[in-house]
Amino acid sequence: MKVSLNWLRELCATDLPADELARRLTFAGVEVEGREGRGTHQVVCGAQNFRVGDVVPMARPGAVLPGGQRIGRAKLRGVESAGMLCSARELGLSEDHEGLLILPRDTPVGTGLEELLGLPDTVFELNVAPNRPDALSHLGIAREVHALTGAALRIPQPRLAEGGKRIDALARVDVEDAKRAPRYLARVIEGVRIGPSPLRLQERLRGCGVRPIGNVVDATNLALLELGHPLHAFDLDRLAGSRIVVRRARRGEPMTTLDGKQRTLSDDDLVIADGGKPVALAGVMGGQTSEVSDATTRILIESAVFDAGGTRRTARRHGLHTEASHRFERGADEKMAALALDRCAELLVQLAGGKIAKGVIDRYPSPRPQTRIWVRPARVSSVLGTQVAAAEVEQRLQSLGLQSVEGDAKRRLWAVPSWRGDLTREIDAVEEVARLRGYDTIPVVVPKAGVGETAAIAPEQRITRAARAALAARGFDEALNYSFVSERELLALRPDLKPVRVANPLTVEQAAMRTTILAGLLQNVGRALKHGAQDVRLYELGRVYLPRRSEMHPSGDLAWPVDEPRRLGLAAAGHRVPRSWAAPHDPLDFYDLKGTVDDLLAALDVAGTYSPVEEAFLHPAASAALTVGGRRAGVLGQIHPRAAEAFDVPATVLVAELDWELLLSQARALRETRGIPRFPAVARDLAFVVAADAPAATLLAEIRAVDGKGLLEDVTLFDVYRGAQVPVGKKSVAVGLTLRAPDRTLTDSEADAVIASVKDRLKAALGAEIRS
Amino acid sequence: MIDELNALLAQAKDELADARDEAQVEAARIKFLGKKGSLSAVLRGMGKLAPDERPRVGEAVNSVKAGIEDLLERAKKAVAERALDADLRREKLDVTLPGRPQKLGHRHPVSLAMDDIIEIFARLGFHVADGPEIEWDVYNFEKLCFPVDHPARDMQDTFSLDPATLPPPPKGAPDPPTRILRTHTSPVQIRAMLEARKPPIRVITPGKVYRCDSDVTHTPMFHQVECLHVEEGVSMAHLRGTLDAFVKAFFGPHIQTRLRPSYFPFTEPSAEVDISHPLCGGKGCKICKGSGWMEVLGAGMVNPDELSGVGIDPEKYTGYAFGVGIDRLAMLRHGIDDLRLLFDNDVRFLQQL
Repeated sequence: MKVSLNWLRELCATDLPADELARRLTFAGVEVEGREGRGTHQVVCGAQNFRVGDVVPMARPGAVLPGGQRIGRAKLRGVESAGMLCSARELGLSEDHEGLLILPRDTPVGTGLEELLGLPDTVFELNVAPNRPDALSHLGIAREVHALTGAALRIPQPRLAEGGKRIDALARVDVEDAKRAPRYLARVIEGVRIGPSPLRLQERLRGCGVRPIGNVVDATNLALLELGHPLHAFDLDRLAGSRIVVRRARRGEPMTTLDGKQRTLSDDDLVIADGGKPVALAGVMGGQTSEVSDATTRILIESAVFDAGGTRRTARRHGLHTEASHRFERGADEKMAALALDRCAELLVQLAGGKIAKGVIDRYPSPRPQTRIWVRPARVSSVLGTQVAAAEVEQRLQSLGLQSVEGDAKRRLWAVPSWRGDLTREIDAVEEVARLRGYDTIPVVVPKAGVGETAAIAPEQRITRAARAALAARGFDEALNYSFVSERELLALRPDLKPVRVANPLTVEQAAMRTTILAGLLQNVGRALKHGAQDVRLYELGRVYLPRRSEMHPSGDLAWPVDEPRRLGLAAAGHRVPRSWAAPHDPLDFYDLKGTVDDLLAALDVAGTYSPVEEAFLHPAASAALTVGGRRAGVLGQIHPRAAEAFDVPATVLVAELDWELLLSQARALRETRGIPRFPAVARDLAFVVAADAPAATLLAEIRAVDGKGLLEDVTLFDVYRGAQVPVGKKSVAVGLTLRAPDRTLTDSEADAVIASVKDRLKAALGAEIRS
Repeated sequence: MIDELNALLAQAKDELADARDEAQVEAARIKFLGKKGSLSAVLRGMGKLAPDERPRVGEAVNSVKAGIEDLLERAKKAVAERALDADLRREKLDVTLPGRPQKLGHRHPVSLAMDDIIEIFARLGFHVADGPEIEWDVYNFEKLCFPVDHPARDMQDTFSLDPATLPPPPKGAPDPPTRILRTHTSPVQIRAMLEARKPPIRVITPGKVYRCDSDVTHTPMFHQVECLHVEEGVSMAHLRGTLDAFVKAFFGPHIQTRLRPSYFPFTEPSAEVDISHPLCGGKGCKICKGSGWMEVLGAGMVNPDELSGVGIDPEKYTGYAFGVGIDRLAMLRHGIDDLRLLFDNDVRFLQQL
């Protein structure tokens, strides 16, 4: 909201400079977000296109216009021109550039424009919190300044000269829905003359960001900006039956609002109707049929209070946000409605002439009872953590307009003024005291940690740390992607999972909650390669969102709405090591990825097994499932060419998606050590030829199965060879065996016996031909 | 005779000092200690000595012999040392060739900041509480004292979800079972209090949050951490203390905090918290628009209605809470000027960290 300091000082006579005022308001909770200086530059006249008799502003040679243009002497079409006539835009007054700014004809020629437009002013741009509708006006800010500085408050006291007919004879108001319109006031003014407002007031409106329209509408806006209560002026002669009916719209009822839009109303919309049709969307916007025009002579001013929730629903339904709806949505002051009506009538007569009809229509069946709250100074002190004296509490609350009803220094009952609908409880008063005295008066005290309460390092934290270290060592950078991606991309990876859809996404690219963590990573890899990256390795640890019952939080008031398991995703493309003179520049393959997963499992102290898998988004011949603790813990492999196409990445990209919840549950945060073996090991190598399709896991399992006495400490598969010297359909495999007994030095003959039985087993089980 | 012996030792010393290789050392050994060597020659003259002189001369002979042996040994070592040294220098590496590379991974600045925050709060006695990102509307708003149909909801533009794509609500779920993408981590406050039932409660709740907003300073997803402390006798002074401790631990001991009154439905009194700008040290710069301060978080005393809403007596217990955008903290720490860099996952950016 914009506030003119000149105007503000009329309502509260503070002499604090603008800087200090801005600081005080900001630190009392009404943030001054910006400031602009307003004023006019002395410009004098030189003419180009005007009707004889018009008075217009002119910039003299040497003048500099707000846009920076310096006015000089020039020859235009051979004629000397000493200066320039100005439009409102050229003067920085408004965006109006349709022609010259035409001043009232009776303006004395040669008058400084500043005299006509008012004194230089400063305008504050304020950020008012949604619970403070009372502060959405010059008076509201004046009240704040009064409470903060003690400077005297000058509330406008309109003086109205009523005359002519009684209002009851001129208009009738019926409120059918008093819940949605708890108060409805009206006055009638006859004999107005429509015309522009004086420049000074137009300038005041512009300064506050409101476009001057004409004296009648300007009067309602001036009263609104001054007192914060929305007002509306109807052309009484265009109200059928000279009637106002406040009612719900009928479903589907049409209406054209002031912005020229034809609207179809809902039966939840409250309307102001005349004898027949709706003439305004209550509290939001007027309608065209009853709009004030140049021909208007009789005005009905409405000053009403509309229900906050209802106004908000209507405004949202019709996509409207107006000065009026902004205030009604936040809660209007029922008492202020009456003052605002009179102030508006006063201004209107001043600007447009006319006679105010006798009396006021005031439909106010059940005034809101005054709020009263008990306040204990001791509670103020204990919440703020600093001693605040009872006298100070009382003084601060009084400065805000609260009135003491009864009580003593320990506890006092306060009557809350009508404009502070946000003050309903003791804590609200505590906050008022706190903000007026300043939050910097609150001491800084670190709470005691308390033995036993101090949080231990969670196992999950240790495990995650270990996993991240392993991935970093393997060269994986950590990524963080949006949780929503395009549904197309999700289905390209997981056609079996229907994602949760965002109902109001910003773009279709962010319309579906991810069912796999790989979509984002594949986008990242694609982009990196396009930027010319040679090697990309990324991981992401985060949630996926599955439309099913949450496994960990299934029911009750702590239930999670959907299942949000965490997944660890890996994506890699490029080479094993960066290009270098010192190492071969081999491309990454499946076994690099598997090695990374192996390292990860080792970091978590988890044993896993791998088996071939059919997964839609993975290459059928280069992918594996990981099993941990008997459960599927994820998949890894080369991406399927179709998925690669969907993400526009090469088909050589490697990906893995692991079930982090399962890994966490199986992982060990801290391990026990076993000491170092006391007896030496015996190492033996073994080479043999088996069928080419015999899985390595089977070979290793057969070898391990031989070891009945627990002597086989380690088996390392160190060579696989196919080609010359190995028959077609066969492969040569070499393994290194480490044998050790825990309690003695193993003898050669013991080792020989184990090796012999390994050979026998391989021959018998796999038809292996032993080479050495 | 003794003079003869000493001269021999001196001569051996001179000759061995010049020994170039093992052959020269061996030649010296033969010359001095060999059967036909100098020492033997001297010994042969022993018979001519008076019997009472013999022991003294014998002693001298032994000492000179030991002396020469020692010299020989040292010369041998020196020669070997020199040979090794020459050997080692025969083939020299170009130490200026680049090292064999092995790529190391980098942490994401936001997750790194999150880890730091968890650790800092652990020291202050707070543990991590978790909640869902697809959350009950009731927990995101109503339970946090956001009135229905109130503009306070406009402060947080909410992503809603297509109900047809959601599973049926489970038993005991809040009513109505509307689900949204949480707009802040504050609903975890509600869950933590419902779960703990009884104070003292000290939790932090880091995680992702969502708002439909996207421009230079807003992304539709970002990260927050909420801090909640409910206990008897807790005051706004403790809020200031915890904030101060956190900010100093995260950015450094020179960082100041300042509170401005503000409005959040779930806290009262409420405050916006500024910190002295970590980059310019509070002197004022372009990023902080010359003020020297940056607004980084929202805070306040827990609204008593929120406490009673989860069955905690607000007369007996008080609490404070604050929520901070982790992304902004990470940006401040690393001098990142474009928020969107955080979620582009451009390796050229990630590898700078």
